[in-house]
Amino acid sequence: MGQMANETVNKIEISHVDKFYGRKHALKDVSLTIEQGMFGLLGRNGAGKTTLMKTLATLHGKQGGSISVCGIPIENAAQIREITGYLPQDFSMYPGMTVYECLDYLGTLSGMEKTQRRERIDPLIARVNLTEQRGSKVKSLSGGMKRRLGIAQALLHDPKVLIVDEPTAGLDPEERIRFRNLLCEVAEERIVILSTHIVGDIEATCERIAIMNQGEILWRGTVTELIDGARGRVFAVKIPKELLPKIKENYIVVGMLKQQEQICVRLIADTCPDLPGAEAAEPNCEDAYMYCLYRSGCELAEQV
Amino acid sequence: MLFVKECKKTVFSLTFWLYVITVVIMYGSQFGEVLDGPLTPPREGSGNYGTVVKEEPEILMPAAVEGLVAEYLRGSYIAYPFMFYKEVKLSADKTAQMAGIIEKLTGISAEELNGFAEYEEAGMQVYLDENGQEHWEYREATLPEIHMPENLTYERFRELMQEADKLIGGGSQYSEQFLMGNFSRIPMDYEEALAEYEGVVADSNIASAYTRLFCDYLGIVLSVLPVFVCVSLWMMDRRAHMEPLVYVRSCSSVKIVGTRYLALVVCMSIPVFLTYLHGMWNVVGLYPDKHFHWGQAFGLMALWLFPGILIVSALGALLSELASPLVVIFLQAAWWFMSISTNRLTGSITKWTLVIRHNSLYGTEVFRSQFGNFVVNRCAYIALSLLCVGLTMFLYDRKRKGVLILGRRNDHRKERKANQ
Repeated sequence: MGQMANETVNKIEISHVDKFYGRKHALKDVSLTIEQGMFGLLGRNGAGKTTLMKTLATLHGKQGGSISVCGIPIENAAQIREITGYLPQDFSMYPGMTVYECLDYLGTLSGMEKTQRRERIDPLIARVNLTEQRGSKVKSLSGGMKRRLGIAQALLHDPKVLIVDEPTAGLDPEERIRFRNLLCEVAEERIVILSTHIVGDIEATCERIAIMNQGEILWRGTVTELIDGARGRVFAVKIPKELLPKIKENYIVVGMLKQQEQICVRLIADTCPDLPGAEAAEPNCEDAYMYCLYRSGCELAEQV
Repeated sequence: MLFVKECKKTVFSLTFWLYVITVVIMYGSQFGEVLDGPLTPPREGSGNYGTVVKEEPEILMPAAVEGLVAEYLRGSYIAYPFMFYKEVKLSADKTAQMAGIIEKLTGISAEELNGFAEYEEAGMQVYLDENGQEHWEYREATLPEIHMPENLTYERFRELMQEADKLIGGGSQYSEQFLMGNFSRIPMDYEEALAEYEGVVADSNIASAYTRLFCDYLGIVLSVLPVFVCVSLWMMDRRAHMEPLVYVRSCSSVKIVGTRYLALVVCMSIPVFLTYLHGMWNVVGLYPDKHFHWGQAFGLMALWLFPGILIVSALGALLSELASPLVVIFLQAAWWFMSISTNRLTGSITKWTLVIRHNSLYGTEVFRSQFGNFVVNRCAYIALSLLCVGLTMFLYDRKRKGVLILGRRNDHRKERKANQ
């Protein structure tokens, strides 16, 4: 019995959730169970990821279904906010405040006592590698530094759940890796939900994922299962340049590499294409994601 | 402590310092002049001792009737409906009704009135003296001879004035609000002027007299300026893209809105309080032998000015949740303008006057006669402020939960598009 209660306490349960923006059905019968560790929410822009993130962060209401975060119904916004940290996609902070002042202000809004804030803020600043910028004004921070400050504010009150929406958009590769590592570290002790359309971020950080499209959950499982599902459906073939338009017409092309007069094409197909030299390739996460969309009947963008 | 942090945010904003500078300039340029020297008693024989508004039917009735006849003959009536100046022209039907009212007031029939050909408007007229030099002088309107019926009582006269005001559409010179001030002003004699002077410089009155004038000047700016500070602070989260970070905190909406509002009001009250202290310090220097009743004066200042700051800030906060900053500032400025453009300098305190005026160290009796209105007015604005703050808390909470999408339609459209 005690173990059952503990299981509920450490998970987010989303059951048949619907959400409308006017007549637009933004979330369609979404059901998910998210446990401790990193959970990735993958999908195209406009798939409904941000809507789901905001609903979990109590910034949006829902029209149907139920959500409980660590055993607390989402309707109990005040309690949910106490245990949730949120890093939105677009955010900034008062430009005239310093890094420390911003965290101190937000900590106060989280109901933290002065001593508690003093104890938490400096180690957190160090953890996100902003010690040198402690006294710098927010307006002087780079994009990557602001993102790190964002994660610091989300972790300030030591939440059980961390919701991170598109955190690496616009960051350079080095900053992106640093940020992903930071998320992995914090996920050791809490539930972290990472929403992104960048497959590489998911591959590098999450074990369990869900793929969303047009407000629906298309697929859920582990990254390995996703890749396994695409095994035998990804092929590589070298073709002359002139053949490329025809290949694009008939297959989902997920990669192209020009090699002198030939092009090495990576494509998705249910069976091995009838092309000389075509052979099955080891799928990566991106291939598997594209295959998932293809298999689910999603209209895929015309390849360049 | 959240309150201290919100105060810091206010104090470090540019609009707050613009507010402080304007308050100080208003104080220095207007009230500063009366601190040049003490009031002096009237000099006997100087001839001009000013005027006073008194309810004297013998003066009021003929003056008001003359005014009405003059406007009838001119064919238009000055009025301030909704507090804006307007020249009202009546329809044929209403003109006939107005003629009926004038007949009751003067005994002059509509035919006689309409047939009066010698009518000339009041205005400046040029004439030449014996040396052929031009002179300008004010000429009264040429009107038919008016004899008010002997059986016309004062009460009946007031009723007919109200009827005339109703025909004009309200806000005319014959309305309850303006009748006395326009037509019942009488010159004071030396004894009356001396009595008024002694009344003002009496120990029990002098602090209040200077406080009234201080509040008159400061009240003008405090009925509009706080909206700029308030809107700037209230929009700070939105401008800094910080709303989602604040919305997801565990702090209640009541606490966030309440603390921000309180911090704004306290910060904006400090310069008012300090300029008041400075002013009164100087007043003490002008009258070293007087014993000032400070409690009464400070209470008057607080009751006069702080409700203004409260209501303008509360309305600014509420409207900021509903509309764009420009709309909020425009609405507040329009309300302020309507109030200030229709108020007389003294003696026009109604139950809903925003900018309360009493632009004189004198007129204690006039102010006292409207003190009831003054108290009701200020208490009503305090109550209205609390209501606005309550509504702001409610709207803010709805927004935090994504239930209400108002005030930044474009932002939300973009957001919705991105989410879809």
